Amino acid sequence: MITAGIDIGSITSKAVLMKDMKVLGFDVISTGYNSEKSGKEVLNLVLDKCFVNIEETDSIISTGYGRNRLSFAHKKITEITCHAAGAHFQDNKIRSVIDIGGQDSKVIILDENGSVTDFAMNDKCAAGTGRFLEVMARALELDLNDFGDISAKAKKAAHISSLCTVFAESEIISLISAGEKRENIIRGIHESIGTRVGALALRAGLRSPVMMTGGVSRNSGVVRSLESRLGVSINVSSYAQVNGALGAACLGFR
Amino acid sequence: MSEKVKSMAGKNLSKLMIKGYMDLHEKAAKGAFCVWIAINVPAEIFAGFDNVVYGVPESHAAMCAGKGIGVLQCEKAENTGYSQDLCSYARIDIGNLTDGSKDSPSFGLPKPDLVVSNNNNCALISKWFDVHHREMDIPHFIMDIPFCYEPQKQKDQSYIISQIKDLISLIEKLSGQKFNFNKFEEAVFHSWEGFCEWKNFLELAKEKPSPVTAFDSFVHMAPFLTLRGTPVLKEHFKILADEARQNIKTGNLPVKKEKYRLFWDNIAPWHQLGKMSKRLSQMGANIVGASYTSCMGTVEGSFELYKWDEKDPFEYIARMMNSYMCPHGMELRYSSMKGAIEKLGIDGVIFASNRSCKPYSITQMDQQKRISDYFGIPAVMIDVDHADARKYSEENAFMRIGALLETIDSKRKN
Repeated sequence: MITAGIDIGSITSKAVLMKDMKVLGFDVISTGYNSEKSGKEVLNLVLDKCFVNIEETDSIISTGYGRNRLSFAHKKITEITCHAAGAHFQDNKIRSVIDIGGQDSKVIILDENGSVTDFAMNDKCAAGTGRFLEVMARALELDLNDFGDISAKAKKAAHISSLCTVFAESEIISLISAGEKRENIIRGIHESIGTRVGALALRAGLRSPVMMTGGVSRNSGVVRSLESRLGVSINVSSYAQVNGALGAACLGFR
Repeated sequence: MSEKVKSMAGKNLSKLMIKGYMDLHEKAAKGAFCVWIAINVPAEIFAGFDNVVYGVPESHAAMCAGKGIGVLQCEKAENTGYSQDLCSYARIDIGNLTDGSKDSPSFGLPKPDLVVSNNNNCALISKWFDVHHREMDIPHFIMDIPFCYEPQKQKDQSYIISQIKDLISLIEKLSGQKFNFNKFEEAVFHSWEGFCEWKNFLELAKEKPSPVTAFDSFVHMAPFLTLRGTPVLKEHFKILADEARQNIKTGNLPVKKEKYRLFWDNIAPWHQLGKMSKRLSQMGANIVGASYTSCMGTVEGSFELYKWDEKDPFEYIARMMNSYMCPHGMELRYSSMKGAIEKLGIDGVIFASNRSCKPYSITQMDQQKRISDYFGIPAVMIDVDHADARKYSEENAFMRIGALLETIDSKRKN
């Protein structure tokens, strides 16, 4: 049996193809303004990559903010359930998932079957999300991918008090003007996210073992900040960015 | 839900509301003494006077939001300097007054001679009505109603009654009219009968599938606010209950394939009723009960009807000032919700964190945990605003609601 999971996020669209509960391949592209088009495109990319025809797929499941826009999907499932399923597939001992995506951050608590028992999400605010980091990278004229390594060199974390993305950006510009080192500022940014998402995790009732997913999990600075704040070790998913799509593909087998 | 043909009760409601607002304007224009009140000020006392009418700014603001002009009215207040962080009802009401109510579906409310607020249900309304007091140079009577962490004490009830009597004296003095106890008592009796019939209607939500959806009950609450103390309450809620009973027989139900029975906590998001009910219905979800509608006619700690012995009308209306959720502490709110969840066979709860009503929202995070722990049912929190659509994100809310339904499914499978 072949299934495809497609996760249409606010910034990127992801697709994972599975056969008999084994990953055949995955791909990631920018979402753009047309969810249906990007969903088709990312699916075709992964189908081509795996030499599979669309007619051979038994089930296509969509998830993410654009899930309802994919007319060709057989079923639409929220990313909460999909992220839980994706983490459970990778390691069935996982009991909590911390997912930080482009426009939201969420903490999901799982049971031994990989079913969601509780979850908490950020409210209508970009603080503690990937978008927050993007804005800060722009202000610092750095590539976001370098944030983790640079922050590792910091001697201290610059204090960033604002939780608002726009205000925090102004605060960072002030820190730059005051001559604060970039690595310290970046560490301060990571601490700020750690505080925000850490509170969310505690609210949801975090249980170990913990897996982190979403694009932001590739940022080792954020992971370190969360580990230190929560006092737990965090496994970063090897399918971090495509975990939602992976979970969707897994749910296609049910 | 929104696709159905307008029900008999729906048609009757429209008729009542239009007539209610027209009568209000007409009587005020002919010289009636006009009072603006907060929703739980006991409006029955006005029936004790020959020529006193009342308007309810909160109800008017909800109507503006329901008709899609909430944001427009809010912006008018914001343009004069009021913060977006204030309650959207207050902003709609204040905004509406900036241009002579030109956009209001009811031409606003007639100019008041007196405003009456209270401080146990809404934290803001005394300040809000103070704006009217200053702008229109009219008196403002504030009722000081004790907040309840436990069932109301006798001394508190007596304190409320003394204030009701003070208010009556003030109206006598300001209007030059004499208060008639018998007419007032009759009005209280009408309200009591209305509450009884309302409860008969809500009780039908126990049926599976339910003929009742909170979206209907939200809307049909309106006469309790604007037509209190009148016989139309009983008549209208009887039409509503009879029609619901008939719908059970004919299968004309709000959610045809009811898979999920949900409970709602907070004020209705008036600007979203149509959209939200339609989307939920498509998902097989019915919000069969809501704390907001269940609390009418009840007192602290239970959503069961508060039984009046039909003796002292002052005592009864004083007790009814303690209906609603906001005047109650967490234990009392929990006790009320617990009873409703058990009675209605609820699968999941939506806690709507309302940006415009912090007194209602303040305990929700703890309630969510307690309800989930006690019943083992999932509960979710969504961000809403009862009248300002700018503070609501539909996809954000529905992602959470979707996850709630999926969690219910997975619990059923396991």
